[in-house]
Amino acid sequence: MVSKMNKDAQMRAAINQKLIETGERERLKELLRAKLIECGWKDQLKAHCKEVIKEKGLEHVTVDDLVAEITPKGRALVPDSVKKELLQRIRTFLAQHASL
Amino acid sequence: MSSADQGGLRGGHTQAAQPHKSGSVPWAKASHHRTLRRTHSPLIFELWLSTSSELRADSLGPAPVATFRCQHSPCGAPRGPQTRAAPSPCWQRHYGSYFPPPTPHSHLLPTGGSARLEGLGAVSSPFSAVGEVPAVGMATLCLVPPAAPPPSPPPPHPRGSSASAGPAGRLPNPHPTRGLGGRSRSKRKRGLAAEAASARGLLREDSRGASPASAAASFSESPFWVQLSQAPRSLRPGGGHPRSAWPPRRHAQWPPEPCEQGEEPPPVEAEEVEEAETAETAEKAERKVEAEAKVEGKVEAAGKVEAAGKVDAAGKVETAEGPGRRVELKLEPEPEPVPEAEQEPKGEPKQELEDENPARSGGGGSSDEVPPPTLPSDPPRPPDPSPRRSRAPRRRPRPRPQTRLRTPPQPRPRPPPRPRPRRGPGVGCLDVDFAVGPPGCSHVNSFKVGENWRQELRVIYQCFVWCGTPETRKSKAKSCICHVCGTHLNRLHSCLSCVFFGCFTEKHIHEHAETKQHNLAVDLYYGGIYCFMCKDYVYDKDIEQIAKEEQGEALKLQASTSTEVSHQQCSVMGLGEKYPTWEMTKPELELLGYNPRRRRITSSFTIGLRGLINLGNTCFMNCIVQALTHTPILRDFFLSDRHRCEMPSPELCLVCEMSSLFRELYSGNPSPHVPYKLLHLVWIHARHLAGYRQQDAHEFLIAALDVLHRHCKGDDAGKAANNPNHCNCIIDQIFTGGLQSDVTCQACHGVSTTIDPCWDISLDLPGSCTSFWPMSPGRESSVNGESHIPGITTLTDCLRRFTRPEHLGSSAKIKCGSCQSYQESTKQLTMNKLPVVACFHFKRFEHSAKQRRKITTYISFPLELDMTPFMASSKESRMNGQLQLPTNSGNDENKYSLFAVVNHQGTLESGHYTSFIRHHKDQWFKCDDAVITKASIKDVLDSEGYLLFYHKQVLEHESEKVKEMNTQAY
Repeated sequence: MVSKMNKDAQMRAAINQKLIETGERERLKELLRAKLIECGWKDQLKAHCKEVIKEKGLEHVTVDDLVAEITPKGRALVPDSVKKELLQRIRTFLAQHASL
Repeated sequence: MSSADQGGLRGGHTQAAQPHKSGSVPWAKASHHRTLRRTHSPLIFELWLSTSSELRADSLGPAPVATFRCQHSPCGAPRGPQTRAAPSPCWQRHYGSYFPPPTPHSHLLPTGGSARLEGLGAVSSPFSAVGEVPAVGMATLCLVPPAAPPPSPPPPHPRGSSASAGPAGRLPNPHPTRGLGGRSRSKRKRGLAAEAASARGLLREDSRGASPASAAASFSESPFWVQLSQAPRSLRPGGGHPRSAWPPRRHAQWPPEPCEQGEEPPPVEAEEVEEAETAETAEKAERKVEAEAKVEGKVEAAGKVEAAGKVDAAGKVETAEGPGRRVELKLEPEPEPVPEAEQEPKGEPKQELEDENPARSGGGGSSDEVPPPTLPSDPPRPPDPSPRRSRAPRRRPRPRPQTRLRTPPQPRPRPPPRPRPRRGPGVGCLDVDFAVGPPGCSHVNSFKVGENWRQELRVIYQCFVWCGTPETRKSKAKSCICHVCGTHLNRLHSCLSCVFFGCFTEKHIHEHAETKQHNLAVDLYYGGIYCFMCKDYVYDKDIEQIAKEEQGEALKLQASTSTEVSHQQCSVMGLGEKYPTWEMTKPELELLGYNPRRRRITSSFTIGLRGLINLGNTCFMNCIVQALTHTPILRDFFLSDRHRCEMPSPELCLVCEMSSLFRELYSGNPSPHVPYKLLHLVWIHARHLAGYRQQDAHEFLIAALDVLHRHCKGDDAGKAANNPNHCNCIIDQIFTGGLQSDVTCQACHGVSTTIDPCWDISLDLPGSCTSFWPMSPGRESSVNGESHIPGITTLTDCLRRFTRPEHLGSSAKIKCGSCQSYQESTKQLTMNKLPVVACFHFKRFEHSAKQRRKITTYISFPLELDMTPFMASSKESRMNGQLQLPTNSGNDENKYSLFAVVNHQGTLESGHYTSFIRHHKDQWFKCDDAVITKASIKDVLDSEGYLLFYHKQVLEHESEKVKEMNTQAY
């Protein structure tokens, strides 16, 4: 079990390295950013953030608070299509770099 | 005519008739919304959000949220032509639609300003200007001195210290440490005033002792200070990881920086400026002081700075600094300095406003330049760390806290109150980033004192955050793991003082920060700077500028060096520019100041309702103009001044004329407009409509759209990237739908599909001899919620007929593509792509061989229309047997709402056109040339109807297109 987890972790690290090395990670990030803006996710979250801040008072909010507060909602709001697409792109990428 | 219409409609513009390269993809779909999207910058949404609920309800246009409902409203005032150059669409659009232009610059009214300045908006983007707001709060809270002072300046009374450091260095100490922003400013001013005084003749020491300096000293002793004082230690570079080249360099320079910064630079510069000013305007100052005092009072009372000062730039400045000043007044022993200090802000509010980042100019810039001299003395620093540390905390004391503390002896309670009054609850941060810019974090400021901090920061960004080159990427991939747990997840941050990477979520970096007292870290994925003392991300103009540059650079590099297909990447790369955040520019700021008046849209707001004079049987034109000018999305386009004329002779450009027409109609002028220019252009460009004869409104509509389409050449980039035949102009984006025609061979059942763009849909009416009506009765009722009254044909009936399979007959055999023979076939039309604005045209004028007459059959039409059943996509399911009823499921994608109806009264030969237009969400008005009267919904729905204009309720986002591109790329 432990070894399996280790393996997973290694795999993750390796993939992450590859993604960074090739610059794919940045591209994915940009893509994701664009998608989320386009689908209105960003605006929704922004509105939510404002609510949170209003509620707590601007003086009493830190980025961390905000992150903690909106993360669940943020994750839930990501449209499936966006997730799928990202996944697809990552798969494609991995297929191309199967030598890993 | 009907046949002609048909041809005109469907053939419309055939250049785009070929299906998109992918075959099944309609050409228009791909990029249809591209520019529209752009106009929907999130900012707009933000503005709307923050403006009154009414405004929100009104917002029709392209809201960024996918589920945005179209609600037609008439708000809006035209912008003057001179504003052409205004950069941001959002901005334009915002004020454009809400403010009529009383003065030449009135369109630039700041409603938007208030909303956008709210400050909270940008939280999401660490680098946006607005995003800095939170930092302000933090800055005020964390008063910790940034670094140990350099050896040269002894903490308690540095008078004797080096002359080179200058008097400024000593006294002003507080300024640098403190945030650079507006709040700090007041403090600073005070300090400056004191300095100024000293310059005039007072000894430095004296002045210090007397006012600011003494304040500082006392402050340092206050318990509050002591508490915070631990922080400074953090400045010492930690054990240091000798690993890479960059850190060492840093070590050497780093420590010294903070001290210097604390002491010197900003004060010097500020001093000079202030002195000059003060000398000149001493008198004024006093007066102003009084005024300010009032302002302050207000601020305190209300707690909301913004309420009063929001719009007015100058006002803002004052309010922002108000509290600080007040304190000063009390504190200042000498009357003279005070007025000066205060005077300054008043005297040059403009400058401050204009200055894009006052903070930087005030503190950062000067600090950079000044430090070098002191630097030499720094090296010694490392040797005697302990003394300095202990001292540092005390010396550091921010001027503000001091003053504050001073007035009231209690240390602790003070700090919190401070931030509050300034910023006002809720939406109040306007003033902060608007006028003065947020003060930075003192720790960042101390970091920035170093000579090479920019370089160092750049190196970090280049090597670990945004890696443009393969080598750096490689190094990043290898080295960016947590030094504690070895993982790469968990929001890795890098220490800014030494080489250390640690997980943020696991607090590894926190541990490091605490043990080593390195209190700044940079987020390795997003580049944000975290301050462990302030316990939050901090936003510094200089750093953000650097980050921006580095990021841009990296993107460029990546794009150029990438081995993959570039086009897709470029599309990805361009994203940053595609959804830019609006940052005010100087001219915008100026314009904003011209007109502080705000308008609110109420239900009785009549702007947008303006009659049009009939110039001689031009009612056919007037009714269409009214319909077009009340097309929400078109209105948004024109009122935000999006048209860039590309015609060789702009005076002949119909789009320009439309633009000015919109301005006229939304100017708020109650007298009817005389559209002679428009008529002239129509005569020039659509010769068949020239003259004073009566014309067909539908014909005019089509002609107008055609000319408009020709005159706006559209987005060149879009044209090149997509189908070259495809035009990206606003007309196409709004009015063009895709009509799919499937011809099915009766022999082999092979289907040949073509897709034609169309601008409107012409519908046959029952009673016309060319069609077989009624359609089979008893079909599913209540489509589109029309209560199906027997005997009354509905719009849905017409559409159903329009999309039914039609036998082409034996006389029109067509060569079948699959069986290569001439066969009878059936043809069916469906909507392949729905336009944003759907125009339905009832063919009421029949010109057949047998007769010419007007069909006056009443057709009922709904306020809300669902086009789903007439989509090509739902046809397949229909053919499979289940007739698909539009379910009232959550799918609003194909729903439309009625916003204009054009009616014709009279006969074929002579008659009169009028139109009903929707104003606000649900008010209707009848436009009869120059006369506009209120109408009820019933009036509208009971009217005969000749042209119906429906607006899509939900505007889809562009992601569909991106997806297509991506799938193609792979």
